[in-house]
Amino acid sequence: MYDWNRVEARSWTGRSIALVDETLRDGLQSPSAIDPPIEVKLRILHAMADLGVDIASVGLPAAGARTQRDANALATEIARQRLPLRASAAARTVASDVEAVVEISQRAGIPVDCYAFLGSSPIRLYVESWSSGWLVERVRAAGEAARKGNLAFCLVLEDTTRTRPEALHELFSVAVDAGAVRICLCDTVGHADVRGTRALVEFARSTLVEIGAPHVQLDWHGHNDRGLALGNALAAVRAGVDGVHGCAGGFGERTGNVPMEHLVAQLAELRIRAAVPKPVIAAYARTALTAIDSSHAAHTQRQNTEPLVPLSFRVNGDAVDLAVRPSRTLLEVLRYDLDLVGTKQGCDQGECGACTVLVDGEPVLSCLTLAASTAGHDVTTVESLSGAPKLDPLLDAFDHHGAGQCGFCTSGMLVAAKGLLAHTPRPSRREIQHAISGNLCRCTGYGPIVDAIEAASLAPMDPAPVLPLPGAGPMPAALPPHASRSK
Amino acid sequence: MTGLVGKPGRRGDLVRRVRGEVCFTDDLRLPRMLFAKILRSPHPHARIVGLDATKALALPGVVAVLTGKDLPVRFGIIPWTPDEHSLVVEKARFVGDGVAAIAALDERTAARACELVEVTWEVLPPVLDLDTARDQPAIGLGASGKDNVSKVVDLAFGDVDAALRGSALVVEGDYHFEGTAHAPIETHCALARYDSDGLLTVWSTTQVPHYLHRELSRVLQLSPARIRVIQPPVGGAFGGKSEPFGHEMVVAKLAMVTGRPVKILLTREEEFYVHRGRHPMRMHFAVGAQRDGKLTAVDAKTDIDGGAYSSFGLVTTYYSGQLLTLPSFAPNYRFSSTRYFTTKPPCGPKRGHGSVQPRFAFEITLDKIAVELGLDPIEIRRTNAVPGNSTLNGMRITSNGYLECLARVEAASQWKERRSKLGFGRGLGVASSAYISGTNYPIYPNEMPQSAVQLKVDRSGVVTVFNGASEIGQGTDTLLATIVADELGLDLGCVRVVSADSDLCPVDLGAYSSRGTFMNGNACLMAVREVKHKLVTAVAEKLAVPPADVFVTRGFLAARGLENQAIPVDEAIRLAEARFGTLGATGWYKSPPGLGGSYRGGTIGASPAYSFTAHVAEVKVDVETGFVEVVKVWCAHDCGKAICPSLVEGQIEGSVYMGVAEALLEEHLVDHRGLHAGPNFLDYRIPTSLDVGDVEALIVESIDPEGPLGAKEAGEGPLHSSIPAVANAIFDAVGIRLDRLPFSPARVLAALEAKRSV
Repeated sequence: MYDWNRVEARSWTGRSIALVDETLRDGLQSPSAIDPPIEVKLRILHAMADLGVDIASVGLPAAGARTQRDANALATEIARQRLPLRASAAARTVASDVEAVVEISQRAGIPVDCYAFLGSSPIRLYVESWSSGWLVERVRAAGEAARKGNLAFCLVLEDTTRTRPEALHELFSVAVDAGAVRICLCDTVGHADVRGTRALVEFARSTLVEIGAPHVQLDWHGHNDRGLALGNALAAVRAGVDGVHGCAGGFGERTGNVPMEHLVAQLAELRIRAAVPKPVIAAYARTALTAIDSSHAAHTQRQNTEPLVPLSFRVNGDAVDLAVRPSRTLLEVLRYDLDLVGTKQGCDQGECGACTVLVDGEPVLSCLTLAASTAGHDVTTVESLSGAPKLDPLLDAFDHHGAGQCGFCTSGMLVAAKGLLAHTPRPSRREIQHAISGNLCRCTGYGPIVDAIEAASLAPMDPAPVLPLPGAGPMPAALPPHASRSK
Repeated sequence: MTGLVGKPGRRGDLVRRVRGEVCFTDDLRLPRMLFAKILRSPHPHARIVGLDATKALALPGVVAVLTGKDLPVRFGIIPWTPDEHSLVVEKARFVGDGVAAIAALDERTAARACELVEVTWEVLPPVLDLDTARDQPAIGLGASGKDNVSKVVDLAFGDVDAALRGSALVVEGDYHFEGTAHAPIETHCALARYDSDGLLTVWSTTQVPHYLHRELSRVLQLSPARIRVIQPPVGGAFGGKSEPFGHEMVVAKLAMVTGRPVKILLTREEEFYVHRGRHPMRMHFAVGAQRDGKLTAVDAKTDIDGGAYSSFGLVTTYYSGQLLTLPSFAPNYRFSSTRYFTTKPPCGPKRGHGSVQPRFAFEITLDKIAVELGLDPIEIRRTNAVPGNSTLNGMRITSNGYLECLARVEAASQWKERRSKLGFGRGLGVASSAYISGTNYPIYPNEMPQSAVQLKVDRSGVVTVFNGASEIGQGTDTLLATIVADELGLDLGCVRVVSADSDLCPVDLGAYSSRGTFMNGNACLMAVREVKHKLVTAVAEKLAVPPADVFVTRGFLAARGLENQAIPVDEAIRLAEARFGTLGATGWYKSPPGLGGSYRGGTIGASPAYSFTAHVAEVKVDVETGFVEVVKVWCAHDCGKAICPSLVEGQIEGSVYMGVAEALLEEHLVDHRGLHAGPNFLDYRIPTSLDVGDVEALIVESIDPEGPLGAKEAGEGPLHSSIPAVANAIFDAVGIRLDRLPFSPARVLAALEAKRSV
């Protein structure tokens, strides 16, 4: 195999890249997010630590009492559990916001980096009626407040991709003078793509050198405008930033942010950061998204109170009318509501195939199928295969060929085979192997199963095989005529 | 013999099993039944500082909560190492250790309630690899609290050092076997009911209903006379259900507390954490040989990662050395095996308990020696075939089809014509092994039978076998029905088998150590022969002939010379019932006394009979991708006598499939935080129908003098040498040695790269 990713020998960056997780600030500003209770936020914080995040935003404390309380609790948790995270908090570039961050830092007894944000593009200045002199003054005031509170001060310049270089030069100098240890670009990315990103970061880097502040670090916090969040973040890394921001699932204000999971995976792929095991990434995403994704969370909250919905469908040819919760799976309805326990549950997550049934003749995994979605459809289960004395050819062949040992996966196999034979009456062995490739068997090694399905496909459908039943010999003699009737 | 034994045939019980008529444990539903869920430890090693279940109990739908305090009695499969609690009492020892249990009206409510249990943990240092276990004794997972050692076995036979010094060649190597999981398609499930008259009934997916019965009694402090254990058909086990589990105790206790039936079904994820899978082993082997290929000595040192608890670990540690001395071996042997505790999911027995890993190391070493000396790898195995009826560690051999196994795979694979002649990228490899047919001694010392059946003979012509053994898919029910039907001339369908119900069936120790056919089969044969004797006597009297003249044939009993007056079996049964009264019989098996070596541990590994196996594997290695395809495996297995050849073939095919999967795909990895690397079937890859090659099962029959009709085991032996056969075939194909499992494309590529740069 040729790997084009490996053609370029040059390393993507010479810097070590910090990960800044903004889920609990920017992520919660997404229109699709809900603000979860603090217990849940704490769980998300731990998931960040597990993921290897360096800096975790605990929120924008000035946004309100609840946000402030939560930010406090999050910072305290980092301190108390000695989580390997550095806390950060967002602030507008005003002294009172910065002081709110100072208070959190002092209560928790740990440093909290203050990310103070400020719009800088001409259009923003025009819309907000800000003058550049006024901007400079605000930066100074915020920097002063941070210095007093002993906080690391980071200036977040919004809309930077639309700001003139001269204006940036001036803001950078002011920020450095105000004691900023870090400058963060650029929030809204707008039309800028990787070209703009790269040019901007390189400009910022050289400007910092030029003004005698090479020690000041650069962060990239770029929104997902035009779907370029990850691409722009990687371009920024290449152009020389020291940290990149991301949020679980790409949640974030406006168009969203860089999905942290993708960022982690991609930085590992580029050998910039250590690889994180997939299950850890998955656990992070699950923890965060089940809590903040409003569609998911609302679903969870609804579960117990969700109204019953009518479900009319046909099962093995019989009309069935039920009322079910919308979240009930077809597997649950078959096994628990209809006592059709021939269909088995092996994993309940669509991996093993033991729960395979046919819906309108097509095999589906009943554990992943909502029962309500089968309204008006035809469901066929393994119970539809006829038993003694006229055995279904598939059952007969499976029994003959030793195609089942423990028999637990066999129901799903039989149904998958039935689905196959319905549209491909004479399948090749390869077609059979493909048809059952979603059904795991742990006993047989599959050979006898393929043999059995092949044999069933070749068996004459009529007459069906007759199961040799015990006691098929002479029946008890006929009774004598009833005495009273013969009178 | 009336024509059923030794004939391929239908299995018989499959049809009812697949249509929901025969209920697996999770198919059972009782009136007013509750569902249980277990909250599990998120830490690999941590002490419970506080536990508050108030909020969980307050959730509507929650009926009861249990914690470790409610079940304070320890248990464990080995009577000398009971170190498990049903729920953590003080310290959790792996991610997944049970902490609290909830019974609720439905499963989702129980799961939600688990999240409301508030646990305060003091996190303790974890032990997640063998080096830490060895180098940081202060963590104190061992019984003494002063080290992390579970069991040490040091045994030596002969002067190994001298023999190695005098060898023309000594091949040394390090081998690593990462753990693997059983991954049955049916996850663990248990259901308990506590009747108002004080009788507890537990249904469970267990391979050892009798041991479960004993441990339930101990943990619940309830007389065994008040407990009934029923094992419904099991949806795959492979050793993963062969000891009592915390969740079984938990549902029993919850049923007693709530007065309602309680069921628990483990999730697929829990299945990977509850585990008891194959032990990871790190093995160092030095094997000496003379120029003619004659082995001189074997020196083995093995570190075993036991995970959190003892489980069968004492036996595992012995088996890692004791079961290696057949079928080809040296006259001098020393092994030193140490099982360590780690804070990982506990390991236990998996198909080929304790001996699959050292077999992998030894068979590759043998291949290296053959290559080094320019000998045919099959020939070197013949040269070293252990002669006589005893091994150097004192195992008694009663029948041995080993050489025939080698000859069969040699011929079937066209070994001589094709080995090393298939071109670069394709190759053949051989390996061989032997395995026990049951352990000679029960797990808890006693003088009673290890297996038993009772027959009930009905005048309708139906015989019911009440049988303590565990049908887990391997086919013991069919085996017993075949033996009974064959002896009495009945249709297979006229024999019903009722299994593994402690109220109905006599005791059998369980489906482990490949003991079913040998012990249960012998017990059944003993019982049915008593019934047969009565039938023959009654028929002889009816026909006025000597009993010796009467014989049983399909459907009839007849007398020589009077064949036209043959009497149908059901009629013979009625004659016998009239003559002797109600018909029935008991049969049992007890292994012969005194087997095994007289040294300490010499009885572990002792079996009344040993099976023999040889594998040849053919592989294709893609040197671009590192992908290994096992094109075909020939497996010859000496099972003594194939009473049900279809079942034996099924066991051989299933074993080969499972072994090849371990060779190429499966790896039970636990990361640095004690989390499983992928506790599901997408990340823990078991082969699908598209991933398997051909298997040719070759049955060899050596007719064991003590086996039922000559039979020995077939369920586990045929797995062992499949793995080294694949490794040796890869060497034949591309010249690389893979001493660490599994042979993933990355490892194959790395080895190819290393070979090129040499």
